[in-house]
Amino acid sequence: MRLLTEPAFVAEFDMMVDEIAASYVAGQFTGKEKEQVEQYFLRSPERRKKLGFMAELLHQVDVGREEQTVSARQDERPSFSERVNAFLNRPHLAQRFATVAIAVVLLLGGVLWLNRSRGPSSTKFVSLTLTISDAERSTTGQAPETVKLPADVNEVRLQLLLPSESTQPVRYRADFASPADVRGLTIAGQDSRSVVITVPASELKPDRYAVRLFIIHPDGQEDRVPGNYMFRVE
Amino acid sequence: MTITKDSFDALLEWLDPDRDKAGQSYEAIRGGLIRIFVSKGLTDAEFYADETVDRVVKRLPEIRAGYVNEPARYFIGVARNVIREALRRKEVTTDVLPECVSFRTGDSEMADCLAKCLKALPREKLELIHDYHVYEGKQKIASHREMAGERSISVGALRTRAHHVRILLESCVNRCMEDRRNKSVGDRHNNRAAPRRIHHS
Repeated sequence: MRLLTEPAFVAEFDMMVDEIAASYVAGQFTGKEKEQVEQYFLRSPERRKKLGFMAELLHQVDVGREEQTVSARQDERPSFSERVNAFLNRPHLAQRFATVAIAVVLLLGGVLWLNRSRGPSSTKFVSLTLTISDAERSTTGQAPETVKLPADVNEVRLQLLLPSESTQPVRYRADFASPADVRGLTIAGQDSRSVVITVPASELKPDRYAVRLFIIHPDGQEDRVPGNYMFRVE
Repeated sequence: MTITKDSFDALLEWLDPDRDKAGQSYEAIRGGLIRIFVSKGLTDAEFYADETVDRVVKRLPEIRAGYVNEPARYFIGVARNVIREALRRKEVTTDVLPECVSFRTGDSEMADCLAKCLKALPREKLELIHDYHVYEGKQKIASHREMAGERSISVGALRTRAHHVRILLESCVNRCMEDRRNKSVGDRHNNRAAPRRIHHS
């Protein structure tokens, strides 16, 4: 009866239908429950059509997400200094002492090599320190940090202050929530209190930007740091 | 039975003296009937919804004077009979095993249409539908809580927003697929705004 007279109930019913279809596609039903869904819920052609739609939607969401992740992972390939840092931060003390000298030599050699290949200070950058904001993406809330980009600047370095000090060995991934088409973001460094990312200045036009930060745990699980890092380019 | 304009007007008047409200009531009733018939597993739920309406319209002159309950309740009673008859016909005439439930992704007309419709979504809606469906299980719950927090809305409101985007996408996909069908067959596009009438021979 309520399906004929209560719009709110009808909306709830339709949402449940979508969610059951999505759960079926995701393989969340097993055994008897799965049989019941197939026997009763999916009996009619309309429900199977709905199932097909949900399956295709979830597939395309997955594909879209993989493309985003591959693109972000390419951007966060560890730099030479990051790899050395990771090597130095291994916990075993004896290893540390034994490898410090080697690491110093490697670092010096690396720095010399980099300087030779880049030439005299070819990278001009501007820096910005950002704190996390829980305002909605690219809309109101507290005024975002603003930066002007002179014509000769080729890189923007954003120091993202973590909401709380990190005590675990983790990696980070970052991307732009808004606009989503900014390319070339790189994780340049991190410590227990912040993560530094760099972005080519050519990617940043006058606009408002929101950066998302994700923690990648040792087991590969990702957790998003709640909120966004907002800034504006003038 | 083919409903005449006069009998349909009489139905609307029975539903509500205000014609606009009567029209909304009629659409709500018909939509609810379709959902009920789909849930019962009947093929062609719209046909059965129209059959139900036809029977109510036919009986209306007899019952109108004495019927005091909500009209929707009468529709439900008629729908029950329609379901019983339909299921009895199925039991008597056939014992077809349900087909294997399978679905393929990525290489169909629907996939093309959905890709096109996703591209046409405004960025905020596209991000919402992506983020809403990307996780499963506990991660999904946590992610939805976070998404709701970012938007300063409840998890329930987020769920409703995602549902509205899915409705938009489904309508877009259905239109796209129908356009393709019409282009290939060369038929005229049906106008779905008016109530559908199925003429029984």
